[in-house]
Amino acid sequence: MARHWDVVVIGGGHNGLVAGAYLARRGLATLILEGRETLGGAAVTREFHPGFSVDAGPHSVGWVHPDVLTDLDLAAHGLTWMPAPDPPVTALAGDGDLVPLWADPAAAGAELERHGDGDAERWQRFVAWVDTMAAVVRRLRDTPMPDLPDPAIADVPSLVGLGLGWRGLGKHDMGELLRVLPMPVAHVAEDWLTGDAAKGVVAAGVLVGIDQGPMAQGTALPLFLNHGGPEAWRPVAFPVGGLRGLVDALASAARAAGAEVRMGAGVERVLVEAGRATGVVLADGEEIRASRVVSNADPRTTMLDLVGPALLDPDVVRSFAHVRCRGVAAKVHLALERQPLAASERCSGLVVDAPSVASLERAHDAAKYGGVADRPLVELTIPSLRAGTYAPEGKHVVSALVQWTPYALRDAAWGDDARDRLAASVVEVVERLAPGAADAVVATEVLAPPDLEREFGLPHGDLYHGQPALDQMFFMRPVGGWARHRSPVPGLYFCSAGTHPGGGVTGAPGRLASRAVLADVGHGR
Amino acid sequence: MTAAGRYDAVVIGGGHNGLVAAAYLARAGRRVRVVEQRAILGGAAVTEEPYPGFKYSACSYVVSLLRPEIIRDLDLPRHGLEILPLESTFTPLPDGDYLARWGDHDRTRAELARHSRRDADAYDEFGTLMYELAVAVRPILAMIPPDPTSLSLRDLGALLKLGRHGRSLGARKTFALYKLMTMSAADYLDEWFETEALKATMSASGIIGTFMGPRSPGTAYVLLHHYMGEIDGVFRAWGFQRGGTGAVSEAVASAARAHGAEITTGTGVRQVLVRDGRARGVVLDNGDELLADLVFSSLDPKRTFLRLLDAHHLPDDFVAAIRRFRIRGSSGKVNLALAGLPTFTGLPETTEHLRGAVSVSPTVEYLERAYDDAKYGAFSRAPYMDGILPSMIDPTMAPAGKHVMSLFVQYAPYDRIGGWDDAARDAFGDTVVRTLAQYAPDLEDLILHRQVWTPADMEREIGLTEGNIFHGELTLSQLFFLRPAPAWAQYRTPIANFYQCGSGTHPGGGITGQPGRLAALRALGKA
Repeated sequence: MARHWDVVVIGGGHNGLVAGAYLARRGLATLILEGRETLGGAAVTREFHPGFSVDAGPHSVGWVHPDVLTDLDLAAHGLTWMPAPDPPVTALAGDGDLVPLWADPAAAGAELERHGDGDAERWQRFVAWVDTMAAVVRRLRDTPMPDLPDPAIADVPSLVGLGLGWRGLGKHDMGELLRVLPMPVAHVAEDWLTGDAAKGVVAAGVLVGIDQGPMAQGTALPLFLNHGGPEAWRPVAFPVGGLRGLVDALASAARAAGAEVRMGAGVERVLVEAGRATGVVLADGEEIRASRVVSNADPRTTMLDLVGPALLDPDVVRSFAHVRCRGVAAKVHLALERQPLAASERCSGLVVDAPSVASLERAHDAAKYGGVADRPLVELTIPSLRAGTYAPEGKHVVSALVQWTPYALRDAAWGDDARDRLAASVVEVVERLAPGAADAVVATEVLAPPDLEREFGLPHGDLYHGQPALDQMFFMRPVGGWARHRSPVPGLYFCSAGTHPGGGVTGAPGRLASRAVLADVGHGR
Repeated sequence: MTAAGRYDAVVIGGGHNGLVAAAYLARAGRRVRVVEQRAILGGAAVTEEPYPGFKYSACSYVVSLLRPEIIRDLDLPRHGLEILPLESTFTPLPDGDYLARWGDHDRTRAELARHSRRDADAYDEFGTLMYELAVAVRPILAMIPPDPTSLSLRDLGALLKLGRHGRSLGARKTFALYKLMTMSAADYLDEWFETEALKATMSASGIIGTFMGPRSPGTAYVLLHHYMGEIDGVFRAWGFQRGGTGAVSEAVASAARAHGAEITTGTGVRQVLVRDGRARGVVLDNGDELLADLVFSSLDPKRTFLRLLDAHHLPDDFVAAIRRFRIRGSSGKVNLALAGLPTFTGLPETTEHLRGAVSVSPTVEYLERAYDDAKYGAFSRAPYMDGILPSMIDPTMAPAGKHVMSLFVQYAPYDRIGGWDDAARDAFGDTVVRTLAQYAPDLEDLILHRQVWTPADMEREIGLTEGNIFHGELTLSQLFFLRPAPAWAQYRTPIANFYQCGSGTHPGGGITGQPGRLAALRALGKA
């Protein structure tokens, strides 16, 4: 007779692995099902040209939840980090100047002073201020959302903790925090900084994957939410072995904890019997029974495709159908046959081409009408400068995120022309870093939003499984009333980036989802 | 300087909020003086007659949310308030068709069904939800915002009350309201409707007076305002004032005078007198001093705190907060004197649609592109406009057989690249007329006079900083307990006895009278 599992996890993305590992550690018989032959979902390092490999989804890690690292003892499972890149971010100014934003704010400020009088000092104050605000906002991402508008007694301690943290800011900063959270990043940048280079790079940092320009309200939020810790206004880290290094450690931790991982086992639907999730059905018809099902697919897909509208209340269908998933970023990968630039020590982390706030806004404007701007936002990194594992000796790889690239182009499909133009935009940026580099390009890969959807299951190519807009964050993520990782179907849980606290390679949604499952198991639900 | 008078309270600015504050203070037995610098009262709520026989509500042109309690408390109908309904919204379309929403529900439904049966069904359900949410929001608009950073009993009590209010709404309405506060009008309406012209025309109400486009988060909230007008329907709080918007100001002024307030025009206030951290009165432009126990400013926050006061009277933090308060003007106004009624291609056989609003908002993309132009410092090449023909509703507004048309236009950024000189004003006026003439080809031949207001004109003539009609953008960072600055959203200021009572305070712009009322009640210790 087929085995009955305590928990089946749909999808071996990093959050699915985190959730599975936590649950298995607590003694639950846990099965993780992955449809592809690789784990990690979009967090994947793979070859794109013989001998050249790249992190095909996200190409850097921001913040990984510290508890995930320690609870799952990822170091023991092989996770090591490259030395912290310094500079973590390098801005490419409008005049072609390369502005390394060194980890030391004083050093970074000194560079920025070239592009804005007073930014030397302003940058340091800005970074310190973001630290102060983020220290409170960060607690939000550790805290399960309360049941609003009527919080349960169990929510009280975490709410009180949040409230005390906020109170600890002092009267002035308490008001400030409320004021700045919903602000456009353009206004925050303008209030604190002078030069276009500084303002552009700050705005670009929070707009990755977001279907808004810097002038839209709510875009400042990631500045505080994705904050990395003291003085790291934008956290950037690279695991040894690329994203795969992190995923392998997670998978190893999950297996060591007793979870079973099955590849090539794509889930067709969630079994719902008597109103409760009781397992899953695979694409080949195999039924797998479990007491609980945890979905690492995005919540919209989970509810509308894996469960299906027929079994759901029409209001639930409607609210999940309205979750906005929008793919706005493309990945472009270049294989270069020689060293692309002389100034490699100034490009150890991310290189961002965002000459000004207005240029970013214009780049987003184009996408509003189904086009791609002549000068899109390009954020690139050259992993082969950091490690020898990406390209043959002496050769290099460029990984670039390009925005804004609509999921559906208005005038054409995502054909060769559109892809070539994206690649050309990236080559242009590389050429500015290293004149002559264009001739060194031997292979190109372009992953437009529909490709990201097809390859990684990102809904509409949305990197975050749902836009991190004000109306889809916190107690509204993925939808109001269902932000506590429990779905409207008893026994079915969400652990994807589409749930609180949201996207990025953090493991935080997987961790909170496992807590919800464990709490329910404890209560015998 | 001479002490020209001594009052219990001096109110700076005779706009509608200043007058409301004065009326409430006078009604409570205070000796009040209102000082207006222009020759006429009303601020942005004025009726002017720049061409003989043609009267314009020069700036503000519809009465939106004048609070029923104010109408009642001040007995405004007795003083001349008479708001006539605007019965329809007519959106002409480039293909010669149109979309109309009529005063009559069934007729609107049939018209919407002509464009989309689904939308006709959704419209009723949407209306029901908006009505419920408007009821939910109404008490919030009528309260003095609690200061969440304060631990005073009054603030904690008000926060508790607010929390209870939130709980009483239940989950469905709480989440719907939160979405409305944080989403863009376009995204919100996408969840309900498919007809572009309907979505565009509805979302237009979310962009009026803001420097945002229909796709900017935060614009959905204003959709509620339309429905708030309906709740107060018995008072006819939404529509056109007989005699033009200036007659609203006159009615409030009349009520204030009836309670004993003195109102003077033609001389403005140069400075607020401050001694030992307390306001003592004001100095007029002519050098006269008016001494008063309480001083109110209905001017916008920038003028109030950065012009009428020396910065050294204020804490640095506060001055910094006022400096960064965003007040970017985004709209213009074009008033036309017409020899006859324009004929809209889509509906040539009748004029009944001209008794309501004419909205140039064919698609959401049209509005968004209009916004795009303004972001980079140009007026919209194809602007959004909301027009009414006051003479169709109130024949006294124009000579017999002739008409006036007032067009509210977006976007016209205050910070236009190249500035706002006469040539730019003319070019803007030409663009507006040409745009409208695409839908009403005979318009240009009918124009007898044209008056164009740019944001720079509104600043210079009326004293609206940067030409912002709401005294500051209505963004999430500048609403409720953040308006105009955290910890200073309760009408008081860092200077004792000095109050703010203009649209730069909660609940913001539009002819609501609420800032004036709440400021007066707070100063009187009644709220």
